[in-house]
Amino acid sequence: MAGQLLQPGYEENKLQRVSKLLPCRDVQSSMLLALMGEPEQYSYPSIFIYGHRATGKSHVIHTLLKELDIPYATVTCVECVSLGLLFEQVLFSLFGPDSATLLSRSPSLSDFVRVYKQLCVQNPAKQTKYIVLDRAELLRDMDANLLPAFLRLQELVEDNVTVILLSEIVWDKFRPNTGCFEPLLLHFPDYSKDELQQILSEDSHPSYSTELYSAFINILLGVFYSVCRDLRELRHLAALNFAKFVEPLESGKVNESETHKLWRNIEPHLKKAMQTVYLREVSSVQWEQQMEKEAGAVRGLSAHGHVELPYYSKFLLIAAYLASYNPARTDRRFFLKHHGKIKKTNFLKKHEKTSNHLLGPKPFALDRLLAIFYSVVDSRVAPSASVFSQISSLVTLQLLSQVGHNDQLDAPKYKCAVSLDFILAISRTVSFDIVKYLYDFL
Amino acid sequence: MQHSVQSRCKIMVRYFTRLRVRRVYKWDGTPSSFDRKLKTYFFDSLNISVEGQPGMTTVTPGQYVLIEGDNEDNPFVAKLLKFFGDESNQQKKALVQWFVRVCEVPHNKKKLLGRSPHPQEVFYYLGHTCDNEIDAESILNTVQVQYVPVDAPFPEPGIKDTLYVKLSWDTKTFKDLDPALMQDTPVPASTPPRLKPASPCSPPAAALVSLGSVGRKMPTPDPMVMRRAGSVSRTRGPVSASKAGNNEAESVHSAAKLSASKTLSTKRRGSSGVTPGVRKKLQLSIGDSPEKIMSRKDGLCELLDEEVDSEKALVTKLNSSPRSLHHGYSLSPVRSDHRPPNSLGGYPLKPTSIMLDRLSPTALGEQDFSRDMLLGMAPLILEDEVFEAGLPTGTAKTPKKRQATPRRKYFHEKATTPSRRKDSAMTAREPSLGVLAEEDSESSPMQLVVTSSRSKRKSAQLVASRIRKQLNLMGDAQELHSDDGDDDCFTPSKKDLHHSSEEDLEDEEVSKSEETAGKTTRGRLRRASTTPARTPRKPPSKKATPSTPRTPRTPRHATPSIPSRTLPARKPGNVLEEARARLHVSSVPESLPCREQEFQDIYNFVESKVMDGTGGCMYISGVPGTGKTATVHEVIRCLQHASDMDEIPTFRFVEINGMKMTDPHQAYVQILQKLTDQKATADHAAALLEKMFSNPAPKKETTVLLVDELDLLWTRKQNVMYNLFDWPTRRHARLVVLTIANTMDLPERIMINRVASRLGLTRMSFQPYSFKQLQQIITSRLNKVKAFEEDALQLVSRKVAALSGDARRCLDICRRATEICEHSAPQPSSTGLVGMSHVMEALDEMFSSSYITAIRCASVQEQLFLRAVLAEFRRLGLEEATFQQVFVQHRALCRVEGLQPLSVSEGLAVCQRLGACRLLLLEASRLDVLQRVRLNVSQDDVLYALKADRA
Amino acid sequence: MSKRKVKETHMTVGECISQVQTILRQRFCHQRLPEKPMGIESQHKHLLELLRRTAVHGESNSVLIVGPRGSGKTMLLKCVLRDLLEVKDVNKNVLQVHLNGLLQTDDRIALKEITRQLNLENVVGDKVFGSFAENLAFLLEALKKGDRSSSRPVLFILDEFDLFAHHKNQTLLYNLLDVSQSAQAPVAVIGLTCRLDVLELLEKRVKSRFSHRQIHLLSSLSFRQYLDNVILQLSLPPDFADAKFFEEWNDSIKRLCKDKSVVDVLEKHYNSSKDFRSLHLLLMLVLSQVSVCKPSIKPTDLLEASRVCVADSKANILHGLSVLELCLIIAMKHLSDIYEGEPFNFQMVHNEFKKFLQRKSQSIYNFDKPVVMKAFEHLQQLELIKSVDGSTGKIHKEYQLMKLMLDHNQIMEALQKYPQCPTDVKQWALSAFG
Repeated sequence: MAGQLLQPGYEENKLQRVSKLLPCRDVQSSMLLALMGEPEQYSYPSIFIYGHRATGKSHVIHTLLKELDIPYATVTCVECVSLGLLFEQVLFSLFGPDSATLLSRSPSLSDFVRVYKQLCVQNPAKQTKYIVLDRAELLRDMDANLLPAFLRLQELVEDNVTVILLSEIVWDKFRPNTGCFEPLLLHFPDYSKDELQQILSEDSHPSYSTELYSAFINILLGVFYSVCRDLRELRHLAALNFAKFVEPLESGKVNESETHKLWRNIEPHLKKAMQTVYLREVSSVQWEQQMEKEAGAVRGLSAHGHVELPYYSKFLLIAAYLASYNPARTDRRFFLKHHGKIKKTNFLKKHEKTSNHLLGPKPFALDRLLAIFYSVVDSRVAPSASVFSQISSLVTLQLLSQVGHNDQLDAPKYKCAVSLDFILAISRTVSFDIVKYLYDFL
Repeated sequence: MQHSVQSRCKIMVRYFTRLRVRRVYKWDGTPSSFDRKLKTYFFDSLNISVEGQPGMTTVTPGQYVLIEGDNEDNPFVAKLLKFFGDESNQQKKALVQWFVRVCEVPHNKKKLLGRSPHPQEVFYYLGHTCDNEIDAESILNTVQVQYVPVDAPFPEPGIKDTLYVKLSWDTKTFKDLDPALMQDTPVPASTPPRLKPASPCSPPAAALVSLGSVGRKMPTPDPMVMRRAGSVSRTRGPVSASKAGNNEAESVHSAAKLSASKTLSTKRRGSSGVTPGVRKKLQLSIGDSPEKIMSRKDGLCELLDEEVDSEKALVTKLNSSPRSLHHGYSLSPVRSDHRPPNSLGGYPLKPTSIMLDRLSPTALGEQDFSRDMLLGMAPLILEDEVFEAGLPTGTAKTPKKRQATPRRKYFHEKATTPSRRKDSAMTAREPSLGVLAEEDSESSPMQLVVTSSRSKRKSAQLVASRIRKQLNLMGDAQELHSDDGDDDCFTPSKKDLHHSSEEDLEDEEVSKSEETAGKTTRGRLRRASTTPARTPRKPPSKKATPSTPRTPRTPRHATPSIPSRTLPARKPGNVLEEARARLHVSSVPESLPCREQEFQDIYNFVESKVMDGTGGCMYISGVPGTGKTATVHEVIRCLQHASDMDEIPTFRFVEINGMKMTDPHQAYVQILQKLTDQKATADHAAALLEKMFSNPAPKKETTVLLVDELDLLWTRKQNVMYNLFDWPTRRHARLVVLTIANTMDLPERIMINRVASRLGLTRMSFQPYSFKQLQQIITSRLNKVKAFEEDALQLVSRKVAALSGDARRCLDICRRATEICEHSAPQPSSTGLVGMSHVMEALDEMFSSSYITAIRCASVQEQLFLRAVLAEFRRLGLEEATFQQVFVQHRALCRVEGLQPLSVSEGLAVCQRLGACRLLLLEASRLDVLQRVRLNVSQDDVLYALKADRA
Repeated sequence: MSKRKVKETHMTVGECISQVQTILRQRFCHQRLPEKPMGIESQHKHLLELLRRTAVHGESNSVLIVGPRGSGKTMLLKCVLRDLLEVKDVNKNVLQVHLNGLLQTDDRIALKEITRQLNLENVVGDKVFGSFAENLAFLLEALKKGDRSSSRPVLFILDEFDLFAHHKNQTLLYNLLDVSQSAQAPVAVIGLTCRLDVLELLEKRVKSRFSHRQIHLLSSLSFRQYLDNVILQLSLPPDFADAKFFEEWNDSIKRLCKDKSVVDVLEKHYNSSKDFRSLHLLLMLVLSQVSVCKPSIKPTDLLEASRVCVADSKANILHGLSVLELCLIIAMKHLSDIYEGEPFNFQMVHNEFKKFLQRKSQSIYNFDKPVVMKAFEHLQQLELIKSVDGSTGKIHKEYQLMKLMLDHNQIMEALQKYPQCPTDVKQWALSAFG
């Protein structure tokens, strides 16, 4: 598969090594090499490479530039809180440590270009230089002139330099309003399933056969591929779960051949993993601890674990939920003690397009909440301070959220911030059938 | 000890000029006379004592004084003519003769000087615009003013706070100052008496002060010390002493010769140059002087008087009247024949300077100390002078002196001011009376002499020393006489040494006589002596300055300039080029046609203000290119001319432009810098200007301030505008402000009331040019140059008048037309003139919108996209659509056109290309397919362009 | 450019190729100026004449060069300057000041740069001293001192001219243009911009000082010329070291441009944009495929290259999505179909998705909500969907209103291309409404 990298001007063996280092990226790397041409030859002023996360954009570039020891500077725009940092990094890695000192304190782009030219004159090199800007989409948020300037840097500094931009986002969303020098677009496609399999299988566990490992990977992909194709993430998951996978082998219950058993063993774990560690609801460490302990405890960990609330608070929450998901006009119908005649005028909720549950909670006034609360809660409660304090504590628990400014003392408005199943669980605990009272479910 | 003295001197100096402290002014003694008609008392001297400081300065007529002025860094300079006050003694007045500093000369006139002015240079003011009667209370301090002969270079470096006058300034031209006007420079000999007022009434401290101030104007000891220091500072240490003495004597001698020869030559006028006879005469004259002196050894007092004033006379003759000077140097060739050629200018001083050459190639500080030397040895020269007088064949001057002496006596027996006032007044004008003028300057010393006994003792000492000097002189004069005087600068003689040491001795005595004074003198001597030593170090630092970082802060060092081209620009060759040159906006027209009315109004406005020395504002508005600024400049030019013609008083013109400064407050800085060459921060500048315009200054000419692009000076608090319009309203401001802006209702729109009200209602608006005017402008510009056909011109002017009435536009079009005409060589309209066709071409080149062409030249897909936009607009009935919607249409159109449809990315590329050249207006590209699209051109234009494209 | 002697005419293929690469790359990266700017001779003449007058006669001028991106403004200017300096008694006589709106983002920087390039006396090394105000005063003073005949003409070249118009008060422009219209040091102010409406950006007093000369670079070249230009761009210069290879190469190029498919591709490009730069981009891609083992350009290369150029980048991105994300996108598509492009929130999408799952009996895709949410967020990161109101505060992310930034055709095409796309998902996508 490797080895068809060839480009005059570079040693064979280096090219060989590079192609070893870049599995399943031969097309892209050879394309790049071809574009870069021989060391002295000009390359296109700016190249824009886009592709999904973990499709080896920066990896390919860096390996090429590093292995073929081409002068290059690589900057990740996330790190550059200020332009100064960016410029310094570039100059530093292109012209050596002392060069960055030539910049003024808060350098402008013009300073950068001036210093660059100056340094070029001092140490002229025919070899093409490369400036790699990772996470280039962040350039859009910096100075407006920055991106266009980098795109035509070759012309501005009159030096044989090529700027390579890496991003996950398509070029169409970069173009400044008054246009700019159009870069050369390259797409890094995502790895196919087989490629993923191949790459993942490479880091197999020393103590087990590669077949076993690839079998494991196969199972892993079976579970996760439809959700996530991020190589890094998958690799992480594989590393986490392999121990669990080989547990039966350790204990000697099964041998490598009977993959079906192994599959049945690992499968639920992986599913759990997807619900927890994949969502970062538990950290990897916690996850590994869970692996030791018995399953089931894992469930308890997940985010909407039950919160214990005081009795009235539960009712308050329920009332809040009703208040924010039912239209106010329907309150009479739900909460009036005798609804004889109203029943006749049974609503015409046909013309409603979307249910309130799709549009999200509506804000409601405090008195409405209390009204519903009193009608919902069976025993008589005095409108005591405790009720209000409970409301505020619910707000602090972020089960309720206060809308508008917090400073308006009169008629504060709230929203209920809990999901349906959460409120269902709550109401179950107080044996209150909330669905009967929800407008959407009539 | 020396050090402390030195520093003290410095302090004193600074304290007199810089510190702003309350001064107390007291008349010294009783009124010397009383004018019944005017009810004014006349005084002879004024005591200025500074609160908190012990001691006081005494100012007497004839001295030069600093007078409180606009900026305390360099106050006005003037020479006191006399003091007077009313009987109630309320206000103290003084009559002065003004001197003008460089910075007071208006900018446009400075170039008349033709050289860079010396920092310490002043000009004898001959103008009569500013009254020479001032409030005596505004006198700050005395100052030393030295006359420098016209063709002599300035002493480098000038002695600190000494000013040099060389030329006179009559507000129009610099003239060579007639030396006679300056002749009565205060002279050392006259100083001892002047110590007197300090001594009796006030403790030594006072004397100290007075001497300190006086000291500055007592150059006698300088030369020796300086020379000594100079010779020491040079590497020839061992010989130096003798050398010093030697060349001193030499100089003395030469001076003697010089003066003598002068007098001689004055005797036989016309006998040009030098004959051995001259020298013989000279030797003889010196030869037989002794017994004259012996005979006069008695009666010191009158001898003193005699001496004092006659030596004055001589001094003036020496360093004033060019004629005699001319003769003075006419004998230098003979003396200098064996000498190395020397590089020094300054003819009158040649003999002395030559000798200094011997010592050092560097000509530093030579001029002035050699001059001082002349003064210093005045006493000796006096001798020949006096007996010259005695000679039967008296010069033209001697008789005058004769009659001078009695007159002076009569002065201080009963000092009648009228006469004195007369000649003092005269001195201001005619130089011929300079001789008389000198009397009153010294008459005050005279009467002091009679009043005091102590000073007599002192003067006696002085005289004794002087006698000693003379003896020495006689001595080496004889020697000179004995050897054949052609190479006389290397005659070693004990007498010299002895003499120079004598000199020191005498100094000692003086200082012993009252130690404080001595200290100061010594201190001052030290200071003086250091100057030559310091000088060599100075120049390098000066040279260095251009390269030092700080330089650009002062444009004096880093001169802003564009390098000049190697070979000059080519002159216009043919008619068209000529025309083009004339039509260029930059070429200054002979006159401004079509703005006569506006011109007249502005002229009258400014003229009236200048005439009656008041202030005012004027607001000029008009769209760009209607000749606002040009007209104002024209007005100013005419006014300048008028003031040159002496029809109106002089005024200063300052121009600032709101666009040419980085921030409104820079206005202060620029104004200040253009008025007085000061650099200051905005705030400081504002303060200074405030002061300048608000308090009365004795002599002040009207300032005309042109503020262009006024609207740029707008600040939130509008304080800049406020000040600009407020200053003219001040009583003493004499400020006329002309403001220019584009919009007519600027005051109403952006100015808050207090600003607008101060701006006032003097407004004028320049209407856009009508086509006739434009035509006239062009024709006047290319007068006689026949390059255009009539109707061509008319077309241009009509077109421009219809559009903007902007003259610049008009000219530009014409220029363009000439080019087109030039290059459309193949089918030249039979006349080589610019015809209709060319003008047409130029016109639509400049005025036709490029959108249509752009659309026509756009690529197929781009045109399709525009179509799609139109279609979508029609569908929505809106002027706006999202890219997504338009793109649907675009696809459809592609299918219709049988082109394969674009991908979305391509579509966006096309769309954004159109957006980049602003055929479309787009939102940010981030919301790519959702971004809204608008047309930047009218739909009809698009349709038209596209239709034309199809056809 | 060729390091070999001309006499030894034969080189190995490898050397020839590397020569070709070197030459053509220089051409496509705009490093080598063409001998004669093609298609814009008249503009060239006009500008050259103008600048010559400034240089020789010391006549001040101001001109704008307007043309869309990649229409060769800079190239034109460079050619003119080159030719101008060839004129004798000019080259020593002009000063050039190059400014670029991208670099000199405000007047302060611009002034320092001007001072530096003019090397006035307040420049030491490459440091400019003095405050902003002082620099301005200094420069103006310097220009004022000069006069038409004696002082050197200065050419001010302002690239991205429109950006200078955004500086505060347009101070710099005002002053430069003012100098160009008054009897001071002769200057020529040359502005380059791609905005046709640039004059409307100028304040009226600035505008009035600008001599309304505009040189438009609007190339109306036919496809024929375009094709010739392609040949010209690809063919080697006659001074190529190896005569034989030179022949072969140029012939192959001619043959190439006869090829039907090639012509079609080129025409497509011509239709979408005429400017040279996009052409260069295409040719660069083609050139990169030329190597020792394939020492000439084949039509296939061109096709491939153009495929890369015109590829829809979003389709590429969609290709890399996971099935879940794809499903969400389809759900969104349906939503925006139902509600005529009204914005939607996660709840609705999830709802749609669930409906789809309910219809499908086998539930391989029933992930619980957080997982779906994560997929949703990933789409948001990829900027395939965008929240309507920027403020993501308060309001819960489930209910935040979103818009889909994809075209239906894009989605469909993506589905066609999608590797082993589940058929039911396809059907769901195709079904009229969810």
